Amino acid sequence: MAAPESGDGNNGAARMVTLISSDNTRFEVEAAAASLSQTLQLTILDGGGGGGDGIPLPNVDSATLSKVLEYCIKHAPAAANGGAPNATAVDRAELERFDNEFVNIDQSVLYSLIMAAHNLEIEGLQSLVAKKVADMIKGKSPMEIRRTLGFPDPTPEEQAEMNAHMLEYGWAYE
Amino acid sequence: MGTTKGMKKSVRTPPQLPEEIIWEILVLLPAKSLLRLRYVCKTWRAIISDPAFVRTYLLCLASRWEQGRRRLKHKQPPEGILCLSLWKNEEFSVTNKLPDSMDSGSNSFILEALQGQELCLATLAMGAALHHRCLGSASSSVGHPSGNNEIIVWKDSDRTLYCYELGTLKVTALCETDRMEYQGHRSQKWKKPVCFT
Repeated sequence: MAAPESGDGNNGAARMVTLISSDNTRFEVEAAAASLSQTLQLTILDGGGGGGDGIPLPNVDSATLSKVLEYCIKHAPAAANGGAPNATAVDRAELERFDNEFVNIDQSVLYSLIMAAHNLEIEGLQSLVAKKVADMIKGKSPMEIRRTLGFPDPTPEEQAEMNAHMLEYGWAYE
Repeated sequence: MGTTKGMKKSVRTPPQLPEEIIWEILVLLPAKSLLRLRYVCKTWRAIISDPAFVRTYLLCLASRWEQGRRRLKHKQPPEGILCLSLWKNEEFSVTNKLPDSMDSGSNSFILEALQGQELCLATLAMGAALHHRCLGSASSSVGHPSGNNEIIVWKDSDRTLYCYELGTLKVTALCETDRMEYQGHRSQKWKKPVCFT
């Protein structure tokens, strides 16, 4: 069964768009991948980002953007299939493996990713990083969480309040 | 290789995440974690204590509950207020006499219920007020009729269901429970909790 000729991408070449990071690095990427970002999707649909123009992203630095695009490129085919109903279990397992590996990163990178995913409105990436942070928090004591997330140590008053809480609600700390 | 061992990590400033993102993270956590998180920083605490957050949190639980519910087949009890413990895969059936104010359609089930488990902690996450005023002990249960800004709680010592209004923080007695049974996910048998027999 011959698939209908798709409108864009003559000669099999996919349409490319250029994204420009805050530090002026240019990234050329398939429009389909960049369109995982709700923010970019509209611009791209309007025909923006092609040729020498490029879409400036003043909130995202190049290191973060390259990481974000790594995610988008990996997830674009599945997204194009509408959540991939016909994806094989192997494909899905592979994406899952990729996701797990993908967020196994330094915390500062993780925070940049959270912000970028939020600004660019990339839904899948947003929930992926949120889940990662939630996993980092789960089952930890308040002190451990403070250290994990880089909050300053509690003041003596805060410490006293925390101790009182632990005494009263010991079962929540088991 | 390149890392400086002596560098103090704790000097970092706390990440200034937008509230929206913090919400997104917090709704994924068990209530027990939320309770502890109140002592992490003021911003997080303010969010956890915000009735609007609690509502969102419960609605997220609601959708997960719906997903979990599909796996459960109930033979018998359900009727009246129904609830499910998310973390332990138990289903609770609380009463067969619904007050007139609640319709028995899809909107009237209790979302979550636990015997002294995580969800009663959600109540606590909302503010210890409810805990003191209404629950009395940690081994109570709590539920949330989907679509309403209310939570239903009960305590072991009497059989009264209480309704806790999230906006006004008002607690009112709703009705007496005449029955309470639960079933484990695996056993599929309806049992009475010890405190209700």
